Amino acid sequence: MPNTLLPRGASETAIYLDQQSQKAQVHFEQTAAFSKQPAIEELADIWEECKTFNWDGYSADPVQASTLSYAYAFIQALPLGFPLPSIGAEADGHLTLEWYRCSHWLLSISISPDSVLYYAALFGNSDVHGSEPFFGDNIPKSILDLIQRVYRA
Amino acid sequence: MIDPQAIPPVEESEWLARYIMSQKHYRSDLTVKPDPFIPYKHRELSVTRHRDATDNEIWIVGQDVAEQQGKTLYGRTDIQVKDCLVDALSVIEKPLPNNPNHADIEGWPPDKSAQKAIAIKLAALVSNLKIPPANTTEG
Repeated sequence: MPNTLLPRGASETAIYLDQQSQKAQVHFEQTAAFSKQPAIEELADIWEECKTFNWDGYSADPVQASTLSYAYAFIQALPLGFPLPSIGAEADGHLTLEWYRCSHWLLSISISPDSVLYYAALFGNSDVHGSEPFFGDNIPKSILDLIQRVYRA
Repeated sequence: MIDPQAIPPVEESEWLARYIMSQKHYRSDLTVKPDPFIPYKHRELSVTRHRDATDNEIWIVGQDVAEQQGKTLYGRTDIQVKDCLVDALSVIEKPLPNNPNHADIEGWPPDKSAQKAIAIKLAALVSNLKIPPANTTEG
């Protein structure tokens, strides 16, 4: 939900400033949404390919609509400035979000139809894996930390 | 191809092929994602042994699999057996009527995140995607 700016007052100048602030806020929100567009388009593309049984030639389950909507919510919930993932799918019908620096330095998150995030990361010789619930709005901090770690110098 | 009447056990020095039939399973630089290494529906991953097969024969098996499934074969990725022996994984010969070189990577944990942890390690060790040759011919 957008934040509402408090009115500055009733004078002509104050009203003008309020209007400009609100315009700027709408522009900011549109820019934020627009910045996610490449990932949203990739998500739509994956959905088209993977919504039917056996999409991988190895009897894969179809990706369910609920999985799609959780993946969409995850992308929208990414804080502004965070790198966008590349989108994929697995044979069990989970959608995957991947942050990739090289084959030995990456994070992969699987999103299940019941909104569980299964993640695994490889950072050179060390690896991390686990799961977190996702409620459709806030991305767990542990996951955000892993995304940042992929790109940290 | 391996003699169907005398299937040898899988050795650590052998190479295996995993066929890729989704464009979403590899990146634009032809590196392969971890996604095609998640075992499903059973906790085993289907592969084809290179042993006693020519490169052409390995491609023919992949083309046959893709054709049977009504899919496009985008390529294959190769991995050596010794690199598959992550955690409790093992590679077991599982010949099929039309593919005596078929094998399964078995011993996957039931937990999805643990499966992913193994899948990203395998994906770090496999070859880049190899594109099918223009002319793959039987015989």
